[in-house]
Amino acid sequence: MANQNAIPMVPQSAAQGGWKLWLQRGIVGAISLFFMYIVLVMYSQGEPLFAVVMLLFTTAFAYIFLFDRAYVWRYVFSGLAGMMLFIVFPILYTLGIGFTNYSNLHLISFEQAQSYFLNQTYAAEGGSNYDLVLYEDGSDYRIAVENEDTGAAFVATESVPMTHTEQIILELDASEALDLALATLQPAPRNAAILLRSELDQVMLVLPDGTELMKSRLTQFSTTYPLYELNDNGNLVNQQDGSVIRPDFEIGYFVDENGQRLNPGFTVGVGFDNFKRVLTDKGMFDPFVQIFTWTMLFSAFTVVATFIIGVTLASLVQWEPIRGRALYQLLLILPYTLPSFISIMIFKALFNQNFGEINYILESLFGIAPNWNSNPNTTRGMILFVNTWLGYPYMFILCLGMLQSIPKDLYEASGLEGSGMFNNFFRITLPLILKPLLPLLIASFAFNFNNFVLIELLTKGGPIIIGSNPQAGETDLLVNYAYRLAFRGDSQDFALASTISTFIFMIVAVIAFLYLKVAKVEVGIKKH
Amino acid sequence: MIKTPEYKARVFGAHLVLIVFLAFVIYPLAYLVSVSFRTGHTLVDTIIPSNPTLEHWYLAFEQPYVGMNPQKKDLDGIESVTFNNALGDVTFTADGQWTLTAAPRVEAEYFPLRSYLSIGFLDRVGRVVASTEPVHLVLDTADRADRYSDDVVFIAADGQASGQLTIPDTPAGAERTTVQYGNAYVAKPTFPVLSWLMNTIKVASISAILILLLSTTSAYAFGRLPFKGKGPMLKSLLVIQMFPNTLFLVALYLLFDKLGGFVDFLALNTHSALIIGYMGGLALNIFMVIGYFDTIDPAMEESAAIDGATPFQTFYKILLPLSVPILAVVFILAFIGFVNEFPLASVIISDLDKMTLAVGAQQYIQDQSQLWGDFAAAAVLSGVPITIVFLIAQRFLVGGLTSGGVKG
Repeated sequence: MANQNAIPMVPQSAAQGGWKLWLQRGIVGAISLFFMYIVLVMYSQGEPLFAVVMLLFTTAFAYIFLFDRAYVWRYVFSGLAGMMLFIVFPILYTLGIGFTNYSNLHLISFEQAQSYFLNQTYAAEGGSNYDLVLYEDGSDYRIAVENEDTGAAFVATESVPMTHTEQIILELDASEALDLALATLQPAPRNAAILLRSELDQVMLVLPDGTELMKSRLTQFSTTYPLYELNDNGNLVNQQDGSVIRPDFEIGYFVDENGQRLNPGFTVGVGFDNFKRVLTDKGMFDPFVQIFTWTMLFSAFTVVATFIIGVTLASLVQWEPIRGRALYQLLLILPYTLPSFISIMIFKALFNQNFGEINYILESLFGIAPNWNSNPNTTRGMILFVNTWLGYPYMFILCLGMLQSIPKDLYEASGLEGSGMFNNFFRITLPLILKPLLPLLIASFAFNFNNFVLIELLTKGGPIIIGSNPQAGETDLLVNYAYRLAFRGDSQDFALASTISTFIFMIVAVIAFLYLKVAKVEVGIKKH
Repeated sequence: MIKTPEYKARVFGAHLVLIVFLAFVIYPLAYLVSVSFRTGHTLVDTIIPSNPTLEHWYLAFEQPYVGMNPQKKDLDGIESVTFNNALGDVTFTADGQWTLTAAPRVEAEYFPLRSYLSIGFLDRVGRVVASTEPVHLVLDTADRADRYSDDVVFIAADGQASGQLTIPDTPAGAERTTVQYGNAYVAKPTFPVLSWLMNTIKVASISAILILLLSTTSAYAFGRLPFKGKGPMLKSLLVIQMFPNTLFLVALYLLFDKLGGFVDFLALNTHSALIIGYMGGLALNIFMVIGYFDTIDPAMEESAAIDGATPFQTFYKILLPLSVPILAVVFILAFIGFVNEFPLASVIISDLDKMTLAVGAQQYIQDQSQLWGDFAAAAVLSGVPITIVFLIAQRFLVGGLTSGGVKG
């Protein structure tokens, strides 16, 4: 792979003036220090994996920018680092997630789940009880409590709107100023404690001496204690009733003695379970095969259709007797110039079931009004039509370039032999442009295979495949299916989505392999 | 060449094919423009709007629009009818006498408010058969009274006005007599379209400049400098660029979620994170630049190197100035690609003010409310500049596209 035209590799930083060298070292050193600071932050936040990766990155950075031996790498370092971080790493990460049960039911790590349980509290029998009195402060509420036995009263130092969904902590105070403030407030209606019961459940009161109170009955707060304690074998013992819950690393839940699962679940590795599910579960396998087939057909149809239209238009526009060719060319590439997020929406309007122009025309001409939303086949037809409209200009531009490079005398010679228009096209034009276009056609196939935006904006994958579980769409491409599993519906099954993505990676790898074969990349060797 | 009738027919046929095809291309674009000028958010109208309005355009430019909805009240068999046309309370008696007591329903900053009164005759299905010449009303603050000519009735914000409409004989075919009036309203912009436009331009241009920097330096190393592992690396780049980021959106989301905890500028919902995330799409551009560098004879760089130039100097002072065309192509393609980019932007950005156009434009069309008119105006506003840039640059792009991959 030696490059004959290579330039001698002598970066002259060593021969540079001393101050330049020191400036270089200073800047690189300062940036490295900043990176090291991030490493420390990562490590201290309990992310050793990130810290190690960042440390490697920093080392590579410092080495490459300080030592002349690694001079060449200075040119590619940032680009490669970007691609590593935002393509290679996410791909590997996705592959990894596919082997876990990561989903909205198993969102947190084991440690987080454990500490969640350890933070649970309960109101103990033997502790003191405090009666709750709620005051209205405008639209807010002020909490006051009174000790059942001693009668000592405490008032929260601030009023709160009682619209919180997570636990809030309120300081209590017994000062007379607060009593005075209380005198100006109206007691809340009796049913307020019932209406606000779920909010009050999420209130922790702290007495001036630091004792914590939680709600124990409807209008009563009591001293609290941690509900669980960790025992030696890693199980959690319920301090209230002595029962034991243990983490089950097979299913990613803490389970009690009856095997009942306790939320929240945590993330665990599940091996090939997700892959088995995709390939054996009927509710997933059938839709998966159907979506895969549709994705292949969609991509193949798009490539063929856009190519045929593109090459036809290019041949017409290239034809010399046609006047106004520049204008035709300009107008023909318009769909390519308009942002696709706009043009797709235009078609969404045109194909509107009740108010769209297309059904209006079809209705008045043929008396039919196809259903573009709920009938899978007409919906697919619409998608193919729209994507052909969007995609032909690219093929048109490519073919235009290719056609210009075909020597004119070929056509003259064949014309002398009496060859016609179609003969010329199929015997000369097509063979000559197909070969150089093949890698680009494959790339176009790969692009359309993952044409997420088209489906997402046009149909969102709908209609739903009957019998699919979790839900899958009739017009989903594989990539939309993965997106649906991860971000739509109630399960948010990131792991299952990653499993589907893994299948897509494999298919794309095959396409990439074909591409490499066809494109015959000549790296490092000059083409002239 | 002899121009036989058959030949002429062929030329004619070719033109016909092209023109018919162009109709399919241009109709949707004309339709978009048409929708942006229609009253309301209707999709049912002629291509030249039957009732054109600039309302959607005012909103696209984030300006409030003071408009008027046509309304009517039945007069048949009624002594008098009262209604509020947003300027004030109107009392209309059966003999055509009207009185308007100003009680504007809209704040003074949106003055002047306009309305009109006329008599309309409707047929059985409610179509207007005939109507009288309308009386135009305008309500404004008292000090601006002299701005209005005599053919409109001026009403001060706390004033009163009255007049008489002549009610003509019921024409043939009419079944109902109504008073027609304009109900003034203020439409306020719901979405920050201009911020979206600015966000898009900011994100796309910074990303495109960074892509340009990184891809030219990388391409220089790959194309001109010898180093170990170059071949396999180039091949892996080629494979990498086949994997669009839509395939690992979940991972990218989680990655930025984590990184944001360490460094602020990589946090979710920031433009900087989006820009950094876009740097993953570098590989394709590197190949385009390498392809161009390959066409430049390295003799000049070699002689510069012999004269003592460092590799960076040869790159910066010799190779780059020779490569301006491809730099333009890379910049424009990257810029347009980032303007169009939807998946990553929709995952990373969630604040309405921080959205790019591609994500923001989708906010108009939800399952519940489909604001097609507002969408169309915003789309034309944002689509036109991009289209113009593209059309100007298209001459360069043909070559650039054939040497690279696909539109992203």
